[in-house]
Amino acid sequence: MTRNRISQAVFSYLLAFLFLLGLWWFLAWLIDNPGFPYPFTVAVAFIKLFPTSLWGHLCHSLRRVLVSLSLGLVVGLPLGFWAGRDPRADAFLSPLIYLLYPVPKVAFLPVILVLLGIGEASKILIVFLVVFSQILISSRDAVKKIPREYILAVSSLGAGRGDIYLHVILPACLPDIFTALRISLGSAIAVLFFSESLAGNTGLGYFIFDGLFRAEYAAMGAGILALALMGLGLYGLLHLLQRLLCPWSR
Amino acid sequence: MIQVKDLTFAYTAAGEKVPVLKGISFTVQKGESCAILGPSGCGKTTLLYLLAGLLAPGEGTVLIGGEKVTRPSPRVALIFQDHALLPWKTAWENAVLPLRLKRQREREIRHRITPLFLRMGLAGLEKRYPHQLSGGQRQRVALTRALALGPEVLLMDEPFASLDALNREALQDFFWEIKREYNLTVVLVTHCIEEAVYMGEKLIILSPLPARIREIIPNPGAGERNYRFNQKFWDTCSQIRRILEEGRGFDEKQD
Ligand SMILES: Nc1ncnc2c1ncn2[C@@H]1O[C@H](COP(=O)(O)OP(=O)(O)O)[C@@H](O)[C@H]1O
Ligand SMILES: [Mg+2]
Repeated sequence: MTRNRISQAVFSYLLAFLFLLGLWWFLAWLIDNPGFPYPFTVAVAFIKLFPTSLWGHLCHSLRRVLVSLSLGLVVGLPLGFWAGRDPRADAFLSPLIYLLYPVPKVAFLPVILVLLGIGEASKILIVFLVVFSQILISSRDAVKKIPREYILAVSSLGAGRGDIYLHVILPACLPDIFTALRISLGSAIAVLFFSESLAGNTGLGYFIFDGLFRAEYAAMGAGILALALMGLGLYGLLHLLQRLLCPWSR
Repeated sequence: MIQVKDLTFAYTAAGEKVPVLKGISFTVQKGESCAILGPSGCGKTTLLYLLAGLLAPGEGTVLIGGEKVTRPSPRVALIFQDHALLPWKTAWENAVLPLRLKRQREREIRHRITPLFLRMGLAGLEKRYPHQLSGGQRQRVALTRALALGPEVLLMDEPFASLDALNREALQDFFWEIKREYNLTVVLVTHCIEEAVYMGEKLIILSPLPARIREIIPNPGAGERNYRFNQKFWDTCSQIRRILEEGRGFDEKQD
């Protein structure tokens, strides 16, 4: 990317940010309700609460998302590769996936809470389920569309099974895996938010609802802001990782 | 060098057997260049996969250097139709892949491939990805990858099909140079009559699917300088065209 294009991109993001800020300010003025505080009020609350309590809740939520994403990759990727490569595995896994994929995973949350209690395990499990099914489907489909010639070409050069995964299957699927992570990140954060507001006393979901119940709307706004920043940060991280790991698809 | 005996092969598609090759037998001498000509979809790629040890024959055998082919060997290199370069690897990484798979050290890899890269006219293109290369450059990266392990036999699947006419003729001449320099035995398959006659000292003509050998024609002029401007070249092309046309009537009567 040239310097010029970078500064152009920065400029357009700045513009979008200012537009959103202006919209927020305008809506706060229009609605004129303490439940919808001005940007400045929220910013002050954010700066005040961040070092004392907000930071800790953010860390809890962030850790839960990262652990669930990693688990989703570790379990979903091998299963997806297996289903993509072996028709027998696919014949077994595909019907299961098709039946379960459209069911909103968050509907299982009450069951999980009953079985696992309100601690870490249930929150991580519910987010894991969201991420895992997306990764499984995406990686299976990505493997299936790899041209046969790529695998034959590497085999004809004397590659073993491991080499084929390293040099063909993994890089061929990487862009699709990033897409799957981006898609599932949104629902993962939403489900986490829901589970945190429902059970326990840690995490941004808890913090935001705590603000609501105590009618501290500035604190509630600061929590929402932190959640938004966390999502933004994770998207940025994925974007950066993809640029780093998939330089050919730029 | 290469002995193919009664080779028969069928794909299984949707539970049904589709015969592709029927009773194919021919030999290629060491250092000879053999061109196999057949219409699209007749089984040329399948035949090369069998020679490369990527598929196992239903019946019959392939011997290369007296040994039965059962799996890929570093003595036999295959250049795929449309090159099959890996899009996520640079030109250099594609070319050195065979050595990486042999777990060679970085220094040895450099030592062996740098002169080859230079010979192929690819110097300066190391960091480009395949989609940033021209068709001819991609073809030469594929050739570098094929020669990286020092093979005796080079199999080529429609190697010039995706090039424009001028590039194609230049690259065909380049292949002749490389063939002599590296003392290669070559089997090339194509659906293009002129290409077969220019590249093959022995011409094997296949019938449409399932492929059988229709005729084997010696073509000693191939590889001569300016063979394209030689009357013998055009005579051989016409001879083949006649064989293909007679065959068309023959096949229709059979069906
Ligand atoms: N993997 C496969 N499974 C089933 N049929 C195949 C497969 N690959 C090729 N075929 C069929 O075998 C025939 C010969 O294919 P191929 O060897 O690629 O022909 P050519 O290279 O001469 O165009 C074609 O009819 C094709 O449809
Ligand atoms: Mg073909």
